[in-house]
Order: sequence, then structure tokens, then C-alpha cells
Amino acid sequence: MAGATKEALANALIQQAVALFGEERVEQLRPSLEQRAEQLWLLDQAPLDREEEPAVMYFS
Amino acid sequence: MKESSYLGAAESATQIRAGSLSPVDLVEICLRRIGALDDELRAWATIDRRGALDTARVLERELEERGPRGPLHSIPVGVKDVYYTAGVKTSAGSKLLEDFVPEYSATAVRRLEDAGAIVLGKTACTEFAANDPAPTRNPWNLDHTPGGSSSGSAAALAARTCFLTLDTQTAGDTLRPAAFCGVVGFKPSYGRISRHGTIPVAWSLDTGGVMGRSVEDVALALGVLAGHDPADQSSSLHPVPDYLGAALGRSDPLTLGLLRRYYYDHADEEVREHTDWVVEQLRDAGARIQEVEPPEDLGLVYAAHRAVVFSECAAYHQETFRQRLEDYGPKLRQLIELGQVTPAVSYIQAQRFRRRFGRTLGETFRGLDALITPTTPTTPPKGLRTTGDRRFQIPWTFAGVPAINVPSGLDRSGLPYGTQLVGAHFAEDRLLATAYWCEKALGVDLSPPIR
Repeated sequence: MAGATKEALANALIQQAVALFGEERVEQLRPSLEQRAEQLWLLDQAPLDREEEPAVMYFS
Repeated sequence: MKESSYLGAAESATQIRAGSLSPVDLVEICLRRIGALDDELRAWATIDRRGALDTARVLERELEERGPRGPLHSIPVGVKDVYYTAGVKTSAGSKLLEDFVPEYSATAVRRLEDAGAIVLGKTACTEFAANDPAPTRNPWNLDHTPGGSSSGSAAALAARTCFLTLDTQTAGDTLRPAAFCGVVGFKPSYGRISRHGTIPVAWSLDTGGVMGRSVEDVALALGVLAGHDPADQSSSLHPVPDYLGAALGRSDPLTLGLLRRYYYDHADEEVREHTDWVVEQLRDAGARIQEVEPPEDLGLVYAAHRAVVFSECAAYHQETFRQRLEDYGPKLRQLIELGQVTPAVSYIQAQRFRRRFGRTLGETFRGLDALITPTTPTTPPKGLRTTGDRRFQIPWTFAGVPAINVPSGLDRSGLPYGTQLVGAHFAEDRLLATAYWCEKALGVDLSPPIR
């Protein structure tokens, strides 16, 4: 994922979606998949400190 | 004297304790209003007439014999249809659960009942509190969305068919409908209200919330609802202060941080002008307003939130989605499908970014009582196919900090504006005090044009 372009991310999502849902469904989903790829690309660009851990979900 | 349905929860509770208002009469007033209005509004998914009236009779006797059960003695409330209610259908707006009757009640529902509240029924919500709209219409204009996912709660409250509602927020599910229907909507910190016995959207984001007709009413309700629940793994051990006392007790001037960046970029012109007006009113009343910058790119916050919601929602529905695909609405189906193809690394990165956002946001609050923004980019949009734009509420749900909608006026077509105040982590007492101060300074009391 790291360093992938928006297009590469979109292609990866689309290929996976085709495998899971079939081509016909993916055509309906395509604009949303492309939007997802854009959001994931944005997230991929966020510089995070190596020591940053995921948010703690639970308190107890 | 005000007609009973125009009273707030706190005012009604006082009158009931004093014996000047009967619990049975109050429930009957609400049921009559539901009967008169709900064919059009469709705010209620299930109404428990018999159960509510039976409880009112028990509470009437109890009051005479032993005094009030708690601070909400005999207050009629609505419960969003994602909370389990023992013996009362809980469908979350879904065909999958159309016949589901839980055997136990959610902790939050039990806390309301232990405080004397009367559950009138279940308020309608979007399918599984996601994006396929509920049938509910906006009491200010039936052609406009009431917002969602707590669509029915906001409409029911605005239409004065109940006095408080119990809700949830995963994105903007409590604050947005509250803003669109002109009521107070409050989402405390993540973990403040138990979510044991609720149907989840995304576990790490789902937060209990409450709506009322005033800040005082939601402070009263939070005092009952807040507190650790060992049955909920996300429940906080943070102490529970006197929210009502804190809300009503503050008199010194406020310092508010105005977030223009991102908010003014996405708000329409009327909302920007209205927010400027609100800020001027508060300044004139003595508040100090300083402009602040968001600690992170809020577009990135939105993207990260989406990665978390989609992934967790897809995980929750994995099994039933395979078995009963045809029973899912189109928007929830799409959300789950997008979650299924979201990479695990993206989910983890979103949660790492979330931790950083929480930390940097904490620094932003230094010297401030609250942040102030418009609650929504527009007033309620026309049509019932969407529930409006959630991007203004998402950052605070993602950070797990408390946020509240204070009704702040009407647009040119008579639809409500809301102003959002955001507090620091577990500083609900300070946020409620700030909201109460702002509510009084603005002096806006909205009631939709329905009888």
C-alpha cells in the first residue's frame, strides 16, 4: 500500500471487488470504489510517527 | 401556565414531584399527540401504549406512597430502535430484525427506567443506523429530511410527543438530526454512556447520546445515563460529576474557539452568515471568541473515520450479509461491500491517526471552554432520500470528545439552524455549562409549526 498511486489503489480495490462481487456489481460500485481509493490514498499519505499506536478501543 | 407538552423534562419532573402534574395525564398527552401526528411524521417505529400507561399508573402510586424513584420520575421518553428493550420489538429499521423482541433491556434503558422514566416506545432510525433513510419526515417541513440516523428521535421530540430521547452517534447520528429538527442533541465522550444492549454500527465509534428540548434537560438525562458498566468493554471508569449542577452553575464569561477552516469552506453562504451572527451575539453577551485552526487536516479525519466505519460495519454484518443479502438496503449493502475491500493496513493506519488526532486536539482546547462551529453545512435538505451531510460532526465522534447541538435560529424558509459546541475529553460538565450559557445568550426557543 505504502507509496501506491491513487490509480494503483483504485485498481487494487476494483480487482478485489470483482473477485468478491462480480463485474456487473463492480460497475455499479465503481464511483464509490474510486472515491474510497482517494480516501485511502489520503490516509496513506499521512505522516505518522513510527511509535504511534492505534487508538485504544476499550478502557477495561 | 404552559400546556404540558410544551414543558421541558426538568420542568415536568418538578411539577410531577410537586403533584401539580399527573404521570398518567402526561403519558396520555404524549400518546394523543402521537396519534394525531405520527401518521404523517412517522417518528415512532413501535409504540408501547399499554406498557407506558401501566408504568405511569405504577409511578403515580409510587410517588404518593414512597416519593419519586429518581430525577426522571414519570418523564415520557423515546428510545432509538437500536437499543434493546425487554419485551418490546427492536428492529433497527431493518427487515432482518423485523420480528426481534429482546429478552433484556440495554443498560442505558434500564438506567432511564431506574430513574423513573417511562419508555413510550421506539423511535425510528435509518437501517442499522447507517445510510438508508427511515420513513420519518421533518416536523418543520414534511418535504425535508429530519436527518439521521436518529431521525425519529429528533422528529418525535420536536413534535412534542415525548420529553427526552436516548440515541447513538457513530458519525453525526445524534447532532445532525437534532440540528435539522431544532432540538438539543448531545453526544458525550466515547465510553461515557453504556452501549451494552445496543445494535452496533462500528464498535470503536458507537457512542450513546441523548436529545432534549434544552441543555438543562440533556444535563439531567446525562446524570442518569453516565457511569461505568462492567457489561460494556468500552465503558469508562471516569468519575461522574453533577452535570446538572455544573450546567446551571456557571456565571463567568466563556472563551470559545471558532473553527472557520474546513467549516466555512463547506458550509453554504446562509450557514456562514448565521454562524457569524451567532458569534456576534455571544460576543455581545460577554464571551471571548478567538479563531483557532484545526489540529489536523479534517478531510483526512473524514477519510480515516470512513475507513474505520466501513471495516467494522462489514465485520459485524459478515455472516448475515452472506445469508440474506436481499434484505439489506442499497446504501448499507454498498457500505458493507466497501468495508470488505478496505485493506487491514488502512484500518490500522486510521486508528493510529485517530490516536494522534485525539492528542493534538487535546492541545487545541488549552485556554478554551469549547470549540464552536455550525453543526451542519446546510439547513435540512429537501427530499427524504438522504439524511444530509455528516462531515461537520464526524471529527468529534472520531476523537471521542463530547459535542452538543444548540438550536440557534431559522433560515429564510423557516428551517432550523444549529450551532455545534465541542468540549475536551470527559469535560462534559464544562461543555454543558458552556452550552447552557450560549443557549441563554442566544435566547432561541424553537417550536415547529404543527399543532
